[in-house]
Amino acid sequence: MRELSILLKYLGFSIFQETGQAAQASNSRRFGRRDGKRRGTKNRAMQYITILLLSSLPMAIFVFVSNYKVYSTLTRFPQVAGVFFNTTISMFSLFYIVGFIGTGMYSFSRTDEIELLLTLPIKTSTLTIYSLLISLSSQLFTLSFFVGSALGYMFGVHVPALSFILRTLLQLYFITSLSALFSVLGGGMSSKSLVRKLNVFMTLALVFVYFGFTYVEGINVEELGENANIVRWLSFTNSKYNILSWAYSDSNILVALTVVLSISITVLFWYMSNKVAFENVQRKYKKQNSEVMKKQSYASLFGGFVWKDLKLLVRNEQFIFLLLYPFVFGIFMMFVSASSISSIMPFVVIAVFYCAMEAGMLTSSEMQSKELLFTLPVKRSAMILPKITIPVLINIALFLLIDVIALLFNKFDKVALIFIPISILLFALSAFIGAYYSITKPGKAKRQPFSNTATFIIEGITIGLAFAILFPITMLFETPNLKNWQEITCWLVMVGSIIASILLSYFYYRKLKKVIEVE
Amino acid sequence: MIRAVGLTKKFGDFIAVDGINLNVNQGEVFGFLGPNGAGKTTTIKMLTGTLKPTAGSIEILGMDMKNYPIEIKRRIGVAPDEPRIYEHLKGYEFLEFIISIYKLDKTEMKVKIEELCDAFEVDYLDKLAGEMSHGMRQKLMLISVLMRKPEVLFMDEPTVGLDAKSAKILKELLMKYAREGTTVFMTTHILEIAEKMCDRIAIINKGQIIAEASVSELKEKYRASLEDIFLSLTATNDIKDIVDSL
Repeated sequence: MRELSILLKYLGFSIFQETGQAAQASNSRRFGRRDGKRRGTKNRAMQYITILLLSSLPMAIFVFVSNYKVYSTLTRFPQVAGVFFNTTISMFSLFYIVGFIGTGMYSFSRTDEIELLLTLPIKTSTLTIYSLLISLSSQLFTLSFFVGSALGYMFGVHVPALSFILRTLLQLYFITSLSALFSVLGGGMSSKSLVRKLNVFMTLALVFVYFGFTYVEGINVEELGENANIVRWLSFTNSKYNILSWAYSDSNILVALTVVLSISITVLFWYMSNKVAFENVQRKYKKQNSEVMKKQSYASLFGGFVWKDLKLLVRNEQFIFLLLYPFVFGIFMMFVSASSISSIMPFVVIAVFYCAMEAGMLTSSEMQSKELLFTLPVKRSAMILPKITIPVLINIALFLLIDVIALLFNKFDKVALIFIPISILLFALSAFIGAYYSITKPGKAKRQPFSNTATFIIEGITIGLAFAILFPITMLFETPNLKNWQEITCWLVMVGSIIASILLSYFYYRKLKKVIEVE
Repeated sequence: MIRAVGLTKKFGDFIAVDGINLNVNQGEVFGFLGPNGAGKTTTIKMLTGTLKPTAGSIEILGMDMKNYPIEIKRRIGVAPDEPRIYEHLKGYEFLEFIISIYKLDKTEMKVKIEELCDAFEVDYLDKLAGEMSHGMRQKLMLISVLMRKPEVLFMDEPTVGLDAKSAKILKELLMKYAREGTTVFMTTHILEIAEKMCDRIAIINKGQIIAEASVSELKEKYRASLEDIFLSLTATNDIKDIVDSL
């Protein structure tokens, strides 16, 4: 127990928390006290869990409230409520298992960190529990949705509380033991990058489930209850073959089977973890250099820096999130609202900030290798240009894609065309600001492009201006019978903000140019 | 080939390099020695155009660094002490990036890459740089420099992180390149390497060059081994006293 608490205190859940010499060096450089006194070491695991709980708690409360409302109106249709509950719980269980296994396969493999820990006098069983906790912590977000949804059902449908809580605990135990077994069996088949990507997709999936709940909450559930199609459509989740709903089954045999299975899997997991956890796995076939070098490359075609930056974009899970989130959110808004304007506005407001993040990430990645960069026979402007153009062009492309999708679904509004030049201006401004602050005010951690102060400045400028331009346009074109003073105010705010955006773009362009020459 | 006059670098009040003069000829292997923090890396950074000098002038291959930084960089090769390679690129992608930036002939380079990979036993070109060890990245960096066979080579602690065989190959290769006309400017803490490889050496301490001559000239002048000469010129405390106190 002592060993475990030491591991948690000093290493935390280090797949997700930046550790290692680079982070420590950067922290000591930035926060080193000149008087030589040292602050006490904070518990890294507690810090991570606290942040995670604080961020997931509001979501869990919302999921609980929305589910409670839905189930309260479905009390007269217990079969529909049951099907809906089985569907959501199976979905969350699946998210949990996939996410857990992804992280678990990495944490049970022989990573550099485990290599070091194995040289220390720490029991393997402690390392096994530590790895399990790492995997478990990665799923707290999913877990909060799961619990919120389950409690919503319990209070909404008025099922016997004790039995339901026990079934929920059984379900959690079952999916955890199952995931742990698969993790230990697949140990070494995952990578840190894959785990992070998987988490991004899981988070995105959960975010859209959350949006889904907000949508479902607004529809007439009474009508839904009378519609038998929904029951037929989702009834597969009620099937006795759906192992993920056995713990909640009316059949005592299935519940008992879940208990037996869970215990057996736990025993098997413990046995297997002693056999195979943290062992070297057979590496995949190593390719010959000649074979590797034969691969078709577009480095020369696109210019070295553009090609290199595109590679970073494809391989970095944060990028994938930053691009997918506003896009999918825009699409979602389009389907739940009347026109494409309703989807374009939230898309642009979110994407302008993310565009700054993308430019900042590309620039900070370059700056991390500046010792190499400065030896290359290229002008600094050639290096910085892709950091600006790539995020701007991709976000514009996503903007146009949303418009095309809107057109295909007859939701296109011509007013969206006015947003195009404005978006280009806003994205360019964001990219300049992002690149500038990633050099002048870099973040503490390697993966954080800006400091917290810079993040607030960037958010204020980009989101503030996007809102100040787009909201008046929406008002002018979408709100009928605007009063004269309202119309004048809209025009003044919009034109003033456009002028401010142009001036700020020029200002940050000059500052960026200056700073890259000095660096 | 390499000429520096009154080269100075100040960081605030701290003078890292204090008005040094350097003159390295074509085909020469020049060793730049000094204790930690003496100003070796700062000097190399200025000579390779990655750090602007506070004062003084630099001429490489007959071109002034202030006026022709890009042309100079195209013709020199730099292996920094810390091989910071873009972590998200795979080994072969990094080499292709270099080929693209220097606008080199791809077919010709691929042959050289394979030869160098065989020599340094590099069989991990398909691996991401972020997943490589220091030694692996060091070898990759060396391949990216040596494949171009530049006219002037700047090597900051080139053997650090290399296994014995790779270090030996590198040393022999640098000597061969020097015989073929390449100028090599290298820093090292391993005095044996300096003694065996370098035609001339300079010792820098506290930003100033305190000795500059061939190894044989230095040995003759001080009548001691290179190690003793180096320590007598740079060490402030008696080593025996330090060891005894530990």
